[in-house]
Formats: sequence, C-alpha cells, structure tokens
Amino acid sequence: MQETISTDSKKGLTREEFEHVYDAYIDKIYSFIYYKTCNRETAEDLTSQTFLNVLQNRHRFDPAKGSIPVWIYRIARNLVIDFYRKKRSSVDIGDVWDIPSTEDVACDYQVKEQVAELKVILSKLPPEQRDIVILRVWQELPYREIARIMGKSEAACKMMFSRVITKLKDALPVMAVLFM
Amino acid sequence: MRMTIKSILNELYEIDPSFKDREKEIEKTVKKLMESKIDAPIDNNFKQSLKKRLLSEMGKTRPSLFKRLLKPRLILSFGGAFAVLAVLLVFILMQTGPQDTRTKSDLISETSTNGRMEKMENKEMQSLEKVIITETEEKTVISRLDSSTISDTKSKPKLSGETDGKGGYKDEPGKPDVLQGGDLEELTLNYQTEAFEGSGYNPDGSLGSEGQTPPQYKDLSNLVDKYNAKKDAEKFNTEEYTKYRENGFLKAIDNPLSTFSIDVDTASYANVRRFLSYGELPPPDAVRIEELVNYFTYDYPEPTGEHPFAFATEISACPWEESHKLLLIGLQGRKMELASLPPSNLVFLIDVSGSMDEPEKLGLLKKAFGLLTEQMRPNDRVAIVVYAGAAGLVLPSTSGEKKRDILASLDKLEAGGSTAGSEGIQLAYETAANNFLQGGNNRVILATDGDFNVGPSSEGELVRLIEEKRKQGIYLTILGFGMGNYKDSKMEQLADKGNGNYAYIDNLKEAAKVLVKEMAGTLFTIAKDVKLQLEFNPARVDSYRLIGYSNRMLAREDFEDDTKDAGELGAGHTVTALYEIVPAKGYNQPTELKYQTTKVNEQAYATDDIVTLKFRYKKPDSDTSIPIEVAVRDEDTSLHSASVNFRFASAVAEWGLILSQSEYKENASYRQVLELARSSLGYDEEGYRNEFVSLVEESSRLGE
Repeated sequence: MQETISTDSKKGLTREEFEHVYDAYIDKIYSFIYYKTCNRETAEDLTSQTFLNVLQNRHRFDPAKGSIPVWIYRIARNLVIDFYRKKRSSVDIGDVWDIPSTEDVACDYQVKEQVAELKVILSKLPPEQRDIVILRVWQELPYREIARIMGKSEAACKMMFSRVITKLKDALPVMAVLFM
Repeated sequence: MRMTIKSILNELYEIDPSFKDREKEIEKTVKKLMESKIDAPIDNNFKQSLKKRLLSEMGKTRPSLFKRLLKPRLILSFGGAFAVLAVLLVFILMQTGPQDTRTKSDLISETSTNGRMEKMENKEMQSLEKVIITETEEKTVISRLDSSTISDTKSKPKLSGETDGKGGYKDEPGKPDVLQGGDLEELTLNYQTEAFEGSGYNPDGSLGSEGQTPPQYKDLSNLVDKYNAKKDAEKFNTEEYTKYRENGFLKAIDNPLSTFSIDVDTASYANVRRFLSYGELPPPDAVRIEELVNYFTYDYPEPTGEHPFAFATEISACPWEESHKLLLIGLQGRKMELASLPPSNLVFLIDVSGSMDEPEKLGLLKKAFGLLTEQMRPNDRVAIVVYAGAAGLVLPSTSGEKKRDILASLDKLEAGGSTAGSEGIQLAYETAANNFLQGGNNRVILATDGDFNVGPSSEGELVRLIEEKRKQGIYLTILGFGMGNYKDSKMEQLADKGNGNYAYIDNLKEAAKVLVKEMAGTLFTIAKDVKLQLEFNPARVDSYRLIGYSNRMLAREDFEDDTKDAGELGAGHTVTALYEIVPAKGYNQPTELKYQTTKVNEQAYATDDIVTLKFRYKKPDSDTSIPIEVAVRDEDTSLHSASVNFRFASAVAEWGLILSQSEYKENASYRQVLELARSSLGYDEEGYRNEFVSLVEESSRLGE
C-alpha cells in the first residue's frame, strides 16, 4: 500500500493532509466497503461516513499509534459491522456474506449472480478469513498493513490466508462448477 | 505495481512448503479467487462531491475553538454582520447574473435541481429581509427599554447590542434573528460518532437510538449535488430560530401578577438532541427551556373531579442558587383510552418539495405516518394532501379500516419541486372541512422542514387562515423533520396559532413517542386556551422569575379575556412550569410614587400563602372559560427531600439554563445537573430520563 502521507510526528491532520488522504484512499476504501456490502448506495453512504469520521477526528489522529490507512480501514470495517448489526439486530453478521443466501441481501443487480456464486464459497469462511481474501487478494494490501487493520500479527494473517487456500482448494470441485 | 499471482503463491509456499507439492491445484485456487474479484468502480461524481463537502465541512468546523473563546452574543453580532455582507454580495451577484431574464414560472418549471436553486435564492432574499428587520427591531427595542423604568434585582453589565430587557411586565414577542451555528446538512450521520479515545481507534460507536436504522439513500450523489447547490446559501446558515428575551426577575410588590399560557410543545428537546448527536452544542436560541422540561412526563396526581386536568405544586431550594427557592407547578391532563377517544378526521399534509428528499425527512416521515396509520380505527378518517410545486390531494378521505390503501399512498410519495406551503395548507383545510366530524377530532397534521417559499400568500396571511380554521374547529399539529434548513421559528408560530402542537421528529423512536405512545395527547385536545395567573405574596416573595415560557407570557388582562388564545392541553399531557423565587427579607416598605402608594396589607403577613394560583381553561367545544383558584403555602423543603418530579424537572431546567447561556444560570453546572438527574430517574420505563443523562454528559464534554 502506498504510504504517501507523511504527518511527521505531530498529531492531527491539516486541511492539505486531509485532502491528500482523501485522494489517496477514497477508491480503496470505497471498493473495500463495496466488497463487504455489494450495494452502491450503502457503500457510498458508509464511505462518506468513514471520511466524515476521519475529518471529525482528524485532530485526534496520532501517527505514533498507527498509520493513516490502518486507521481509515479500521473505521470503515467497523462501520460496515455496525451497519449490519443495527440493520439485522444480530451480532453474528459482519458483512453481506454472512447473510443467508435465501434472504434478499439488497445487492446491486449487476453483481447479483456473481454474489450468489461467491456466497457459496465466502459464506463458508469466518469473517476474518474473508477479510484476508478481500484485503490481500482483491485489495492487494501488504501483510504488514493487513495485520494492523485486523489487530493481529503478520504471521497470524499469513497463516490465516494459507488456511483459506486449503479450505477453498478442497472446495475446488464446487468452485470449478461455479467459475468455469 | 500490480500484484502477480506468483507473489501470492510464493508467500504461500513460505508459510507452508507442502503447498508446493500441489502447485497446480493451489495456483488454480488463487487464480480463481483473483478472478472472482467483484467489479466495484467508484462513481466519479460521488467522489468529487464528497470531497467538496468534506472540505467545506472542514472550513466550517475549524473556527469552533475561536467560537468558544468569544462570548456567544458577540458572535451573534459578528455573525449577523457577516450574514448581511454575504447576503448583499449574493444579492449583487443575482442582480448582475446572466440568467435573470427568466421569469419565476420558468424557474419553477425547470428541473428539480433548479427548482431547489430557486428556492435557495428566495431563501437568501428572505434572510436578507430578516436581518434587516432584526436590526431595526433591535433598535426599537433598545430605545423602548431605555425609556421604560424596569424594576430589577440583578443589574448586570450587558454587551452592546444585547436586547435582553429583563423585567417588562409583558414579555414582547421575539424578534426573528439569523443566527450562527446551525449546522450544515449532514449527508451521512444517521448514527452518532463516538470520539476516538485511548490507544485504539474505535470509530463510530453504537450510540444511535434504538430502532433507528442506518441511512438508506436513494442516490447519494444526487444528495451531494443538492448539497453543493445549497452550500453557498448555507454558509451563513438557514436554520432559523426566534430569539426571545428571557424572563427577568420581577419585584412581587410592583408586579404581583404573572400570567402565561401553557405550552405542551417538546420540539426543542428533540432538536437539541439532534445537535448534540452531531457533536455540536445547540445555538442558545434553539433552546426553549419549557420544551425541554415538558418533553418528560412526570408523576402528577390524576384528575378525578369535574376538571379535565389536575395539578400539583411543590416548593424547594433552587439548585443553582442556594438562597433562592423554586416553585414547581405541574398539570396532569386526563388520560383517555384509545377506544374512548372521539373519531378522528385527519388530513396528512405532507411537504414533498425537493428539500424533503432525504432519508431523515421524507423517508422518516413516511415511517412516522405509517405508525400513526396503524393506530387508526374504522371510524377514523385519513386524507393525504401533498404540496410541492403545486398542492394536490393524493388520497381522498379514507376510512381507518383501509390501512393498506393509506399506507400504499404514503409509500408512493416522492420528493421534487419547490414548496408552495400555503396552497397545501388551504387544500388540507378544505379537505378537513369537507369531511368535518361533529364532535370529532378534526385536525390537519403538517409534516415539513418548514420552508414555505413559493406560496401565493405571506406568512401573515397563512397565520390568519390558520386562526380562522381554528375557530371552525379544525386544529393543526406540526411535525418538523430534517436539518440544515430548519425553520423552527415559523413552525412554532403556526402551531400556536392553530390550536395545535409542534413536535420535532429526529428519529423513528421519537415518531413512536409522539404518534403512538402519546398519540392521544398529540391529537386529542381536552382543554383549550389554558392560562395560568399567579399572584405572589410580597410578604414572602421579594421577586420571582418564570423559567422559560418567554414567548408564552400574557398581559394580566388577557387572563380573563376569553378572546385571547392560549395553549391547548392534550389527553394525558403533563405540563410543568418552574418559578425561581427570591424570598422576601423582613418587612416591605410601602413604595411611594408621586401619584400612588403600594402597601402590603396585614393579611399578607399573617398567611402562610406564598402565591395564589389561578387557572382558566375552556372545554374543547366551548368559548367560555372556567376558572380554578388555589393558594399555595410556603415551605422550606431541602432539595434532598424534594420529590423525584421536582428534582428531575429542576435538573432539566438547569441544563436548559446552561445551554441557552442564560444570564440567570448562577452556579448551574453540568455536574450538578447530572447529580440531580441521576438521583431522580424514577421508573424510567421508556429510557427517556437515562437518555437525558447521556445527553447531559455529551453536552458537558462539548461545553467544558
């Protein structure tokens, strides 16, 4: 991940810094949220909220405690979780992939088929393993960042990803049918 | 650099070398995973608009520190001057703009975005007028105050430009004022943001009210565009709050009578809550203390006799000023079972203008009316009138039995166009009159953000229409929605004139409170024109001050004048009023003027009475008032032994004094408010008192 934003050691973000942060991460954050909601409106809404959150708390940002992308990703990740929890009043749902496929997940029609297919696979993974797939494979973040976003060690994240692959490899016959 | 499948594979082999043995299988799995990536292109408009909005938000929030350093009233003057300059600038630009050859009807017939723009322009004109009016009125008030003699126990230096005249016997109606501090329209904040604290960054807490779902926007980019269209106009705020002069202390010997009308509105509380939930203190003029106090229900005795309400009084120490006392007067309206309520003829008058096109406005409104519809009985009737560019009857008066029809009509409503509020009100009243139920509850329920602009008639004409219909037995309830452009002052005035009430709906929980739990109170009037007059005993009271109710003061002669309008009491409503009293010290010397002498008689010294309380009210279908009179004995009860009612009501009032930056707040503190409130939560079934405590905590964080 690009570490374009340097805030030195001082706390808080200036207007210019905030603008840079926005330009650097808006696309990534949006797609991250989209991968977890599969709904444009929701993704735009939660993206707005993520950056508003960043803005409102910009003076509290302390570079000593974490990098900018880690901070923003954590905000986004928690907002998605809150969104589903509030909506479904269930603590077991972390993103769109946790919703049983029989129910309407309000995803965009363009990706409906793809979501239905992916759901067979992704719903089998625990939420954290899904996040690894999204962050490592789809978002191409380095393990160093992933580890900090997820609050785990790098080694643990790598191990988690290897488990994902083992699991999915075993399910490959199913995947073959779905993706070919 | 784009990650290749190779690098992922290599990482995997590092972790688990055994993967290498099944290289083909693994590669296929990873490849499929990469290929199954969902396409998620971000909308460029959304991206740009959000950036603009955030940056402008940043510009807005920055001066807050500066703001805190300055005295708020001073800010008002600066803000006013800035607004005048800004408006003048816009006005000049409008004059020289290239598109001014368009006629008004051209403008209206344009797309909805332009419709909104036009609305903005009108609004700017309106702001301009208001600012100018404010200035001239202030001058008038200042000169009037200067020339009048005011008895006052607490002279304090005032900032220049401050028009707060304590002590005039009849409080003048307030002056419209354009204030700083209304917040910009929030795009995304349907639930609250918790501060990031401690070591971890824990964004967004789950503080939002229960039952409130996160926002669902039809098209956020559309919303953002709209925001941008409005942005310039909102720089100098379009939320309007009327500035009322706070009631000052009056000498009991010179002004023994205090007369006011009850007020059952609660809108200010919900509005204050809305500000706090967005991390801002409310503008002082958005705080009406009586509405904060009356948001809560208190445990007063139930009426048993001939009168539709009972009342309680209590005297104890004043929490924020030890040497003073506080007198509480509580009214309890008779509760009525839903089944025993008269049939209703309701007309939902719904603002579907462009400015309502937001989830927390039209979206919430539909849900709120849905809740109300569910309460309807077969003998009730509901009609729906909408207004935007033109007013229209969406649903003719329909029996409460046909809930599905009513709900379907509500569901179909869409926002667009500019606002012709007065036409809508006319049509709604016509519809109500055509279906008038003799002896029933005939009522127009207006739901709006209050932005009446394109209507054919002026505000004054609207008020006259509403007053006239009130006399014909059609009442008005106003439900306020939304933010950023919220016309609090206008809505409260309209509801007052229409024998109605006014609530602000900030979330679905509030909608359920107003329209389901307290529906009887909101919609069924049990007593109208309820007035109170207190005669203070100067032998025991040196001076007194009514807390809040600044815009509800009446002249002493209005009390017995049955043509003078006053507040309505709904079924089950409780109303609470608090007087701060400075106890008399020793014997009053007669006050001798050139032509008269005021002397306290012996009887006053002989009695324990501190005040005589007089009520007047009318039955809903009568024009003659019924009087009630009772004397209240003086007491020396400590705050600790005061009732839960008393302690909670005084906590809320004290909070109101702080938030409204009252000059009479003395030693009021957030800490004391919290102590009092926590000790008087009582049986808080719905959690409103607990919510109060968290709001006080939030305001304390913001304000200290």
